[in-house]
Amino acid sequence: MAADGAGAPPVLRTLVVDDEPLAIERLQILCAREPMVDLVGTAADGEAALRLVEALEPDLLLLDISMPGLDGMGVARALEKRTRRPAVIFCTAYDQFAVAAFDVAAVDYLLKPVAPDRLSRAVARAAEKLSGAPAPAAPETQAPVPEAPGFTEEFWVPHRSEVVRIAAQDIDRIEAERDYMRLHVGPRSFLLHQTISELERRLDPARFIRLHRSTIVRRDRIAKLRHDGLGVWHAELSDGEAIRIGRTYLPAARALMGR
Amino acid sequence: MISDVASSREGITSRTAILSILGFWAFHFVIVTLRAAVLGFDDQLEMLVRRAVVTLVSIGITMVVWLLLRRVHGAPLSRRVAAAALLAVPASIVYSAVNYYVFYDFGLPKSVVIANKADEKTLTVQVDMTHADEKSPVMAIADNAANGYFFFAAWAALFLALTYAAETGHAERRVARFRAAAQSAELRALRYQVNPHFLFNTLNSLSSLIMTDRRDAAEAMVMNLSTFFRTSLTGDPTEDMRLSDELRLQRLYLDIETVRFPERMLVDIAVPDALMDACVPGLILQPLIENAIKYGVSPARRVVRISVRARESEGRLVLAVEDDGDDKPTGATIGEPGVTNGIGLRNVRERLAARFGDAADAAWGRRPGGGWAVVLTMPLVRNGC
Repeated sequence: MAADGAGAPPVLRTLVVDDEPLAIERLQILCAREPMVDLVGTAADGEAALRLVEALEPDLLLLDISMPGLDGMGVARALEKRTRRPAVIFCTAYDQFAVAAFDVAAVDYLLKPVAPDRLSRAVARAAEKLSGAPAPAAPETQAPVPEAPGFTEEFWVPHRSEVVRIAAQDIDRIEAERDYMRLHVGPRSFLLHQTISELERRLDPARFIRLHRSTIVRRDRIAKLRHDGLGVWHAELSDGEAIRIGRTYLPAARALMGR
Repeated sequence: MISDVASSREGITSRTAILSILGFWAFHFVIVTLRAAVLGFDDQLEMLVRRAVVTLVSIGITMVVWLLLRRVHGAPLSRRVAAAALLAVPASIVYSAVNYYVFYDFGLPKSVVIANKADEKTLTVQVDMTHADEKSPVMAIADNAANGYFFFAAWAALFLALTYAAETGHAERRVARFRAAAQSAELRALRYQVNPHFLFNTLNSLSSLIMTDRRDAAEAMVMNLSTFFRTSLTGDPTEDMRLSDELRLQRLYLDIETVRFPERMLVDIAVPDALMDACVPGLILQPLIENAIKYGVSPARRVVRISVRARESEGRLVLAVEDDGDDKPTGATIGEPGVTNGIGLRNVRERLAARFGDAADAAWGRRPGGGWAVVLTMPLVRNGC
């Protein structure tokens, strides 16, 4: 990232990757309107993208997911092995890949046709993220919770006409609804197509606890446990919600009280 | 009959029930009368009258049984059988009492005097006919009721069998109706199902054409898109389409996709004119062409040829959609069409089966040279579309 003197907005050297010529053209036009974006190259597939990253050392990638050969997810994973890695904004036509994006650190997730203001926000977020972390110091740039590797810190959830980012730490509780999981975040909730056990695996057990076959709760949201007799236990949450505790999960829940 | 509507909706009609009662007792009447005639019983005419009276009363009793049995209509069969078995008890007792009264107690001489006038010594034998069988009336009625029980039980069995058959018929017709409705709804849903990838990528290309001021190309794409969606969304999904119309529609779709993949796609459609008026289920080629683009063109970094062929073979229409894509797609998120998009191909097979039964077939697999091939075989129909 090149800062053109004090006070000037940072300029992100950007690479656009897409296998459809018209899609590249469209992003080229949008990027030309973005003051913070300096388009340095385009690539039509994943391998070409990696070669250009090597040669051009861009700050930002606008990355399509579905491509011949190495696809966008593959590119993002390959980038994670680099010490100096560019920020990634996924641009795709459809949200079916959102779940896979949990595994790679992405700044944003845009749906095609990308709206100009949505791109502006994503670029601003990328700039923020890049400026907050000095370029070569790789270890500090990532992973807010280094002692808990492998846990997902943010989820991308299709919501209305876009894909929204939900930080794991903002989730109050998760409830299963058939094939979907409802993530409760404050007064709002989002549906995510995922199994509860997969979600449980992705969440840091130090922060989340499973209370029922279909419920996961953030530990610090539990106000108290209540015994209703006959071995029936409920967890009362700080928002007043009472969650029934499944028999299998009772020992772990009662261990909470011991803390 | 008040509950005629209800009974005709689910069980048998009152007319059928009454006919079963009349038929049942008429049959009994005829059999017993024939027996009397064959065995040469005395006083056949008088007995006939008495028998007619008993039969009429029996019909009345059975009517009552029927009206009562109808009240447990809709209950489980076991409960209806139990109700019939119980109802036959009072019915048979009433029947037997009437029978006794009509045959033994009504108008018969109390005794018969057999005299031999020729002889001086008069021999008088008095037989008390009311106690001819040495039984009390109660005993006689009870004995006959045991026989009568089986008449009513037999009619009730007949009634339940008729009702049950009618209900089963209704249920089967209802299931068939539901199945047909579900199938047509499913076909409609299949048709209305818009591939979101296709839609949004196309809108993206369109936006790009507009932003770069390529008005004619943008206009052509809008027209192709609207014609494609109009044709695929508004037609009756259960109706057949002329092969020429089907191909025109697929050509539109391919034209739209060619804008997305200008340097990677080659379309080659070769269908003899003689087959252009053949009838095919509407949009039957759509999933095949979509698959060829998704698994053949999209993952390839070179030109991929999509070919559509039609031929006639032994009175059957053979349609083939092939691509010469890579042998094994390397994309991490792209799988085999048979695995990841098996639903699409299965749907094609099911639609063919729904339309033609066993006379149609869908086969698919990897081509030896790389790429994917799907071959549909169906009866060659030229009328009705």
